[in-house]
This record gives sequence, C-alpha cells and structure tokens, in this order.
Amino acid sequence: MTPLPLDHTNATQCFLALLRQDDGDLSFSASVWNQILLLGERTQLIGVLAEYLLPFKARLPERAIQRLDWAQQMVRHQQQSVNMALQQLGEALAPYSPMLLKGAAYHVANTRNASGRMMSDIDVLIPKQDLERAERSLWLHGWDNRGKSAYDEQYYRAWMHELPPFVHKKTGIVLDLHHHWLPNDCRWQFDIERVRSRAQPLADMAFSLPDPIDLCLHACAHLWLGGEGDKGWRDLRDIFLLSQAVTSEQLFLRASELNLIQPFARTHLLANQLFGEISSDSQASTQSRLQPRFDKGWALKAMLPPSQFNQPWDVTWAKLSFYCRGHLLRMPLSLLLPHLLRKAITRQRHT
Amino acid sequence: MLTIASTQDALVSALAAQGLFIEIPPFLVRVRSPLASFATFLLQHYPHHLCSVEPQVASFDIEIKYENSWRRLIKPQIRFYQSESAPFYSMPSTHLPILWEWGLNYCIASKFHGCLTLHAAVVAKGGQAMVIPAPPGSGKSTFCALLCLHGWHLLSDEFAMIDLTSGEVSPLPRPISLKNESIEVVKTSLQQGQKAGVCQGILSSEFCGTSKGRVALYSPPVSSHAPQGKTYPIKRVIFPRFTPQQACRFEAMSPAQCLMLLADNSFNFAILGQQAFSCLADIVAQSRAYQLDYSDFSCVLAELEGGI
Repeated sequence: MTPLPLDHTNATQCFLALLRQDDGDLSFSASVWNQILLLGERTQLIGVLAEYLLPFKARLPERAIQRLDWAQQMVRHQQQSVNMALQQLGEALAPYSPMLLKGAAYHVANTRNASGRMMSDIDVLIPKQDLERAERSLWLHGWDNRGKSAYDEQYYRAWMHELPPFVHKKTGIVLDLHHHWLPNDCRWQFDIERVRSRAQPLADMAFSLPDPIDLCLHACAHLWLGGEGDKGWRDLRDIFLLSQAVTSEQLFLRASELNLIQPFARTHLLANQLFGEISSDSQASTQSRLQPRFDKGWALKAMLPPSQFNQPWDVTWAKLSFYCRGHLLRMPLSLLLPHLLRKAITRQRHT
Repeated sequence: MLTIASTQDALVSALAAQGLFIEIPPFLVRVRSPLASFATFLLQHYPHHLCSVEPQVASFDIEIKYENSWRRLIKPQIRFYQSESAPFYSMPSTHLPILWEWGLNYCIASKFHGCLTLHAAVVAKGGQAMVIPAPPGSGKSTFCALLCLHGWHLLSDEFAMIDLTSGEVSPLPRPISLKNESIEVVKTSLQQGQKAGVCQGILSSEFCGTSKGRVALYSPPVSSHAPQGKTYPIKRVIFPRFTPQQACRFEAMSPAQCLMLLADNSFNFAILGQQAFSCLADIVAQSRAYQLDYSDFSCVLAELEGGI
C-alpha cells in the first residue's frame, strides 16, 4: 500500500512522518516548524528529533537548529549522568544480580529507540528476597527513599512491584527498585523467574539485560499499567522499534507464555498504526487475536500528545478513562477505591 | 523586520492572534497575549527591538493568558506558558511585565545551552566586561543599575552569556528588575539626572505584593546598552554584598575560589561538563576577583575607576 501524500500544513502528520523517517522533505512553513518543535517537547521526543534532523543542518531553519541543539545537549548530559549513576549502582547492587529495565536498558543495550531518548529515572529489577538487603546497601551508597508517610510506605511495600523511589543525595537521580514487572495484585500474573532466567549478563557491568523479546513485552505491559497516555507516542515508538529487532511470531509466543497476550496484541496494533508500514494483512491478523474487540480509536486518542489548550472533550475523556483503566489493572476495585479516596482526601488537606 | 516602535498599530492584534515574533538575540521569541497592556509595555521597554508579525521559527514559544475562572470578573489573574507548560503560579493581571520578564528568565535559564550561562549582572567599560554574580538579595541589580547610571554599558542584569571557545561574554540588555528599597535609590539618581536635563532611561511604575516584594523595572537608555554583536573579554569578577557598617571594602579572591563560586552561580555548568570547566578556568586565570562589602556606592565607583 502506498502511503498518502504528506499534508505539509498538518503539523501532527509532519511530526509523525519525521519520526518514521519516511520523508526527506523538510520544507515546512514557520508555523508548522513551531508546532513540530512544540510536539517534540510535549511528547519528550525532541531529543529523538534532534538525532534525526541535525545531520541535515543545511536544510533546517536557524532557530530549529538552535532548539534541537539544546535538546541534544540535554540528552547527552542525561546519558552521561546515567552512565555514572550505573557505575555507582553497580557497586551497591552487585551481590543481588540486578537487571536493568526500560530506559537504562535501552541505553546500555543501545537499541534502535535509544538514541536521543530522554530518561526520567533508572529502573532496576532484583529478586524479591533480596529487596531488604539491597535497600540497606543503597542507603549506604547515598540513595535515599526514606521520609514517606506510613501509608505511602505500605502502598509500595504491600501492593506495588517496587520500593518507594530512591533519590541520590548528590546527583538527584531517581531510582526505582523493582522485584517484578507487575504489581502484586495485578490482573495479569506470571513468574518473574522466567524473565530472569533469560537475562543476558553484561561483560563490563554488574547488571544484566532482559532478552530483547522481553524488553519489548515489558514496555507493552508498562504502557497499560502506567495509564499515562501523555507519553503514549514515545512509548509506542519504543515498542515499535524494539519489536523490529525480533519477529512478530516470537513476540506472540512469548506474550502467551507470560499471560501478556492482551496488552501485547493491543500495543502491537497501535504501534504499527503510528510508526509502521500500514499493511492490512498484519493488522487483520493482530486484530483477530484480540478478545474481546478492542476500541483502537479510543486508545489512539488517549495516546495523543497532551494539549493544555483546546483539547477536544473526547480526547480528555479517552485520557481519563485510560488512566483509570491503568489503575484498575494494577489493583482490584476493593483495594483501588479506598486507595483513591484516601489520596483525594490527603490532597484536599494539603491545598 | 521592523522595530517594535514602528510596528505600533499592528502590535495588539498580532499579540492576540498569531503572536509577535521579537528578536532578543540570540533568541527569537514568539509571544501571544490577549492583554492590550502588554503592547504598551513593549513600546516603553523594548522599542528598539526588531520584531515581525509574520510567523517565524521561534526559540521560545510563550503565551501569557487569563486564568479561566470566575475570579476573572473580580480580580483577573494571568499565567505564563512556555510551550504550553506553566512553570509558575498565576499572578494579578497588573503584574504582566514582571511575569514576562521572569518567565523569559526561566526560559533562558532552563532551556538555553548554546553557551555557558551564569546568574550574574554584566557591565562593561573600555571594551572590558565586569561580571557581578550574586544570590538574590545581595544588591546585584541595584549595583548594576547604578553602574549604568554612571557611564558603564549594560550587557545584562541577569545572565552572563559566555562563549565556550572564546570565553567572551555577549550582551543581552533587558530591563533591570529592582526590588524594594533599591527602587528609591535608582529613582533619586534618575531625578538628579532629570534636573540636569539628561535622559537616563525609564523606570516603570511599581508592582506591589509580588513574591519578591515591591518590584519596578528600570531600562537604561539604548545609548548605554552594549552594542549588539560585540563580545567582551571578562577582566573583573565582583561578588557584592550590601553591608550597612562597611563603606567600601574590596577583598581579593583566589582564582580557585572564584571558579567554584562561578560554577555555583551557573545554570548549565553540569550540562556543558568539561567544556564549561575549562572555560571558567581560563576566565579566572585572566581576571581579577573580589568580594565586595559596601554601603557607599560613590566610594566603590571611585575604586573601580581607579582600576582595582
């Protein structure tokens, strides 16, 4: 199928075309450039855009180069800080066979989605029985997660798949220490040992990396559990590029082994829709595996970049329901309702 | 491109629609606002800046709008947005100029990594720059305004923008934001000038009850702005501290100590990494640095002219 010709007045289309790298034409009007750069910032993909576009400086407007340069500098700095933090973390966590997840794993594995990608924290997975010792070791190495309220402590320790987030006292870098991909009471469940046993150790670091198939499936599960549609395009781009490194069949097989067929099939469909070649065959085959029928239009709306002004009500609604669904996946209603009520009351007291 | 002063009639409509595209080198700022008072402010404090009403690719995309709430009927509030995100709380609509100035400072401090930026006032005389870094409340702006009133050229009241390769600083002249008692100090000096028939710039009306207290914006005349495009080597670094008991005391500072303090006052030292360190090392090697305790400005001025 030949793609539709690009409408140069539609900034959203142009932005996606740039991310897909499928069109070499950069002759956009000044207002479209402004909107493209805005979309880059709102989706946290401006660093990716910088990596793609800066090699073609001669064809870019001066101020676009300026903004892309700033973003690239920011990303380089982040990557350098993550390298340093990983070195320190290696010392603290080496005895607990730590595995990197998400952004830090992409960065170290240098997957195709990694270049120009911004990171907000470092995610590490260790066996559940080592959590307590690892936590104390992190405290001794300058990572602190104390000072949360008793309720927040309980929320993380009893219900979540991670400890309260650690912050490094000097660098301010945030670390999430996980013992599973999924919360304890999550609707989907599997034995995390199956992921750990396929991990690939790194020669020059204390960490291991997940199998490339697992890396992609984790991103899919995380997208639905997090409920953050605002970062949807970034996450779907990750998933699309990660899925390109392996085959669809491998992914479907592994997803059914881990009971993640539903989130995977849905995400696969969305990611291909946005970033892939649109072939109706593969769409139909993925669609046929989705039970019950899945509302793709709703999900794509929820994934749209956030807009402070003029956001249509159906997009706002899709984002809100996507957020709620994420929470419902994380914990059953019997836990969720009291939790949300409590959060609402504490927030009220603080304002 | 035309100057803001000659765009006069089109300003309000452009601001309310596609936006006004203002050259504040090295930036081009797109700003939108439905408030007509913003055009008046720009005409007073930015008359000589080049601008366009035709869309341009912008370094910063700024919007200052009314908060959407019932309060608008009684006490209208406005909010600052950069690329649709709001870094500050809302402010009364009468504080628009302050919100614009502080908002632009925020954009430069947090987004701009084209050169090393320090939180400092910069003035120049005889082609040589003096950098005045200082934490808020130390009297940096007052000191800078007084120097501009006494023949020094204004590069910036807020940012030292240092080129990483040449180590030279470039001008970004914008209104100086004066706080509390310093407003009277500058006002007195301006009135003396007026009596002598010299134009020494514009002092805005006061904005009361901001998070920094009483604030007024002082724009020195364009004749005292450092010319655009020219860069200056840094020859002096002064850390001033207003000390009522001390008339004027300069204490020399070691290059190493100066480097550490400059790094502390930098917005992007960590982001630029080693390049920034080498740049500051060169600067402290070629300049003299002093800690200054003062309460008598004329005495300080004499010392500076004397070549300290």
